[in-house]
Amino acid sequence: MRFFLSRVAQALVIVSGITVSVFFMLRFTAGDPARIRGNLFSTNEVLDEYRRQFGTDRTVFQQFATFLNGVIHGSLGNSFRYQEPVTGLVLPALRHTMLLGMTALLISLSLAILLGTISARNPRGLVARASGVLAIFGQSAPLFWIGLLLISLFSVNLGWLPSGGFTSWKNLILPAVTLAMNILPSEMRVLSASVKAELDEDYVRTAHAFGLARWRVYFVHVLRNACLPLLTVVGNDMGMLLGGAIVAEVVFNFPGIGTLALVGLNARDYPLLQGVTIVAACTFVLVNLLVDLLYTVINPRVRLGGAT
Amino acid sequence: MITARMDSQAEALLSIRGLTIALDDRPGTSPVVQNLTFDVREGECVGIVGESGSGKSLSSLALLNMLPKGVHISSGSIIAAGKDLTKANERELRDVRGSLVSMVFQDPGAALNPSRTVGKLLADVLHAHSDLSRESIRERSIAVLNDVGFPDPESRLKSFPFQLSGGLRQRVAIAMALINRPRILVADEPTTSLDVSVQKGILQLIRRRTTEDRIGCVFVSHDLGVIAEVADRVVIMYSGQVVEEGPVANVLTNPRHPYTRGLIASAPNMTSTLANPLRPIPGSLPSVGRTPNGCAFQDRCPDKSKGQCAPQDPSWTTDSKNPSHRWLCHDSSNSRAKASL
Repeated sequence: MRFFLSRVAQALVIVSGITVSVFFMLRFTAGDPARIRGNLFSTNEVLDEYRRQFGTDRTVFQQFATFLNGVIHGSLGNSFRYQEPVTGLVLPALRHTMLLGMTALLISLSLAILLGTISARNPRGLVARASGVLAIFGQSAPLFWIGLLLISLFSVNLGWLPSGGFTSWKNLILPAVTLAMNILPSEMRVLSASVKAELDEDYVRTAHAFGLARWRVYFVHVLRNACLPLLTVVGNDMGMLLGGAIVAEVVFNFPGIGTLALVGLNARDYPLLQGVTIVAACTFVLVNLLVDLLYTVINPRVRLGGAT
Repeated sequence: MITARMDSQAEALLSIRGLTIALDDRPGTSPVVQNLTFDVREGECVGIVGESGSGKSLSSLALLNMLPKGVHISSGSIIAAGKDLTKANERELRDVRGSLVSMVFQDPGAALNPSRTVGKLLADVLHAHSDLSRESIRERSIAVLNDVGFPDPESRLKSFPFQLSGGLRQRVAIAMALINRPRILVADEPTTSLDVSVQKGILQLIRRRTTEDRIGCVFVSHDLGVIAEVADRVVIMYSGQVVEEGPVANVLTNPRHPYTRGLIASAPNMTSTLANPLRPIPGSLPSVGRTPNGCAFQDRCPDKSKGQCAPQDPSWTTDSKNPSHRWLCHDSSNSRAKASL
């Protein structure tokens, strides 16, 4: 409980730190939202009107006070570009990105567990070699290129899956596979190594000596003990997933926070960018907190404070 | 000491004939275990004794036909309740393991899965061999824990192995081995990693279950004192070969093979003093695959009479008064056996 509370406090500090730094960094980047909103022929009167409307005519600290007041009241302000509350834009986008990220995580984890365990069992086998090639490919090929490759194969040539947008679950497959390829190699390597180490443990021999089914020994007994290092990798992957999601969303024109962030950046839409960053930071911190809690669930020795 | 049950009519539960274990990659070299032959009857405990590297642990793993990588059974048979385990396929072996033949390992701290509770460990073994309901699994688990003298089993079903003492862990391991009511129990140094005070209880438990459940027990140990306590008959192994076997009482009080005599003389006891020190056997085991021609023990034998030990292999000599006691030595007259117990 103490551990939990201290982690929550830590999370709050991180999120507020990110919020404050994002706010000021955006204000100090080049580009005037009003000029981008208008056009080449907009008069100064028109631009001033925009500035008044956006609040960028006031000092940075006045803007910050307004922003803080809004945050306290649960509002992240109005988007310059869409003229709508940012929360209404970011939350649906976050839902899409989460869906995409979780699907990618699910795909990569199932592949990592299956291929990693089989490779550990038989390191010279065909599966182990194929997984090695797959891992090198996933690690070295850039995300957007894998995405384009998949589009050209499955959408353009075979016509099986849509190349972009988000209208049905089919739209999820290609971007999720693209993202999964990004995080699969590290997951698979770590799992394979820890399964290999666990296989030498005496309890595996015991399980075989009592006639337990092979798949049960590997995927229940060994996996449970082998997945702690995997959990650490998954925690790290969360950052990769959020970052990768932006690229994948742009490639597949997927309506998530990545696409939203790109639009916001081009428009110098400060509130929208703040909203995206804060929400993404919260998600990242929350998921990592969850991973830490999972540790204690999976490892009884952490939970119950055993000696050995 | 327990007297041997010489019930020769009783059918052997487990019968090992000419079991030979060889290295996979060096077919020319001599086998790791050579021509192991012995029987285990109902309610009988057979002890296998030897120093590290004598092949006793490999032999015990071979009884479940689960040798580690690198070695294999090259000839011989293991007949358990009528089935030859050396000819069984993987599926049949899985049915046998933990059900007909069960095993208790040396270090219960490592042999029990650290992330499974006592209840789950027992349920796993039951589950592998039967389709019992959750309720009957629980009942059977509590019953078997009671049988192995595990205190307060109901409340400990949710304990993890690391929360138990070494002795209790080994009782859990024995409970796992007994839960499917096996006919044969193989125990590989089950007390070696335990405190001496805890050892005694575990030995008594194995002895009692063997007698009461009419189990055939194979008990592997390097400790003659432990064997004296638990076994009816003893098989002495040296460098992968049986060198002497017979009823425990006979072998320990009247050892015939020089190696057995050396083992007994080198066992610590309360009477050893500076004036009367332990006498270790000089030298060490021949390395794997490098057994000399003739008697394997010739290089370390204190009674080596030159020219006799090699190159011919020694032959079996049987005690005329007790035909089940036999030993493998060139010196067939070996009668000046003054046991130095």
